[in-house]
Amino acid sequence: MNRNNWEIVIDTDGKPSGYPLSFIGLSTDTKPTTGVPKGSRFTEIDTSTIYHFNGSSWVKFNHQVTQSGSIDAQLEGTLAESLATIEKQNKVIAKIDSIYDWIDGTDTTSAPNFTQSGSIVSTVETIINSQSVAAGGDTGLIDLGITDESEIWLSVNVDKQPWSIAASTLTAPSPSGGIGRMLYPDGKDNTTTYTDPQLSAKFLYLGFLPYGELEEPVNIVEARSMLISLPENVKVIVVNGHAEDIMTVTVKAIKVWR
Amino acid sequence: MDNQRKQEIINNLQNIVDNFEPTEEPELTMFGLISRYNSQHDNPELIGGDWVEENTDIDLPK
Repeated sequence: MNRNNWEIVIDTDGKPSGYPLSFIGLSTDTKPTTGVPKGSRFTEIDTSTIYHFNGSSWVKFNHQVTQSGSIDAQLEGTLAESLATIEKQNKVIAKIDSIYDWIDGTDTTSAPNFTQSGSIVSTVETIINSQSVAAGGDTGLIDLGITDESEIWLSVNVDKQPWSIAASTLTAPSPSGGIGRMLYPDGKDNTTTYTDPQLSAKFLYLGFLPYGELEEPVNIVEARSMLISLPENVKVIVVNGHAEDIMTVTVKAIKVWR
Repeated sequence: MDNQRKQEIINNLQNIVDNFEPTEEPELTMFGLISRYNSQHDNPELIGGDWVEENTDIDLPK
C-alpha cells in the first residue's frame, strides 16, 4: 500500500485539519483509521473503487467509473466496435451494388453469392455440383426448387463444348437439350467453355418458350420485360455435345425476390 | 465400386489438391478439381462434386 501527500483540507472551524493522504492498495487490505487526516483517499486498484475518509470511517465515492479497465481502453474498445460495424455495413452495401450490377449487366464478371439486401433478396444455390457428364450424355433433370421468386438466373461453368442448357416451361414440363429459348440468351449449342467460376455463362429463365408471334427477346431489357410468374417444379438439364470427352458442369441458381 | 478402387480415386483426387499451384486460378475449387480429374484420369464412374463431398475429407468451394 502506497501513501502520497495530496492537499490541505480546511476544517469547519477554518483551520487546517492536516494533510489528507492518498492511499493505494488492494480491496483486501485493511484501510487505516488511526492518524488518518479527514479527506484522505483510498484507491482500490483491483476494483477501481475510491473511498474518502470522513474523519471516522471510509466512505465509498459515489461518482466513480464503475466499468473495469481504463477509460482509454474502454474508448479504444468502443471505437474498434464502431469501426467493425461500419466495415460490415460497407460490405453489405458493396454486395447490394454487386447484385444490381450483375443483374443489370454492368458487371459481367462475377456472380454474387449473397442472401439478403434491403428490398431485394437473393440466394445462390448450387443445383449441379461439378457433375461429370459422359460424351453425348446429360445431367438428367435437376429441380430448380422454384417457389415464389421474381427471377431465376442460371450461372453455368463447363469445361467442354459444345454444350446446351434447357429448362421446363409452363407448357413443356420435360425439357430437352434441343430447345434452349426458354432462357435468355438461348441455351442451345454453346461453343464457349467457362472454366473460371468468376466468369460463368449466365442465363435468365423466362418461364415460357417464345414461339410464333411472340418473338424472342433481343436483349436483356426485353427479356426481363417479358417475365411472367414462374411455374413450379421447373427442371433444368445440361447436355454434353462433345463427341469424346467427359464434361464437368456446375450450375448455380440465382434466385431473386423483388 | 470396391474399396480398392475407391481409395485409388481418393488418392488421385488428393494428389491434385496437394499439387495445385495458384497460377491461372487463385484457389482450387470443386469444379477445378473434377475438371482436372477428368482430364488426368479415367472416370468411368463419373464421379463429381457430390461424390467427393460424400466420400472424402476434401472440402473445396463450389
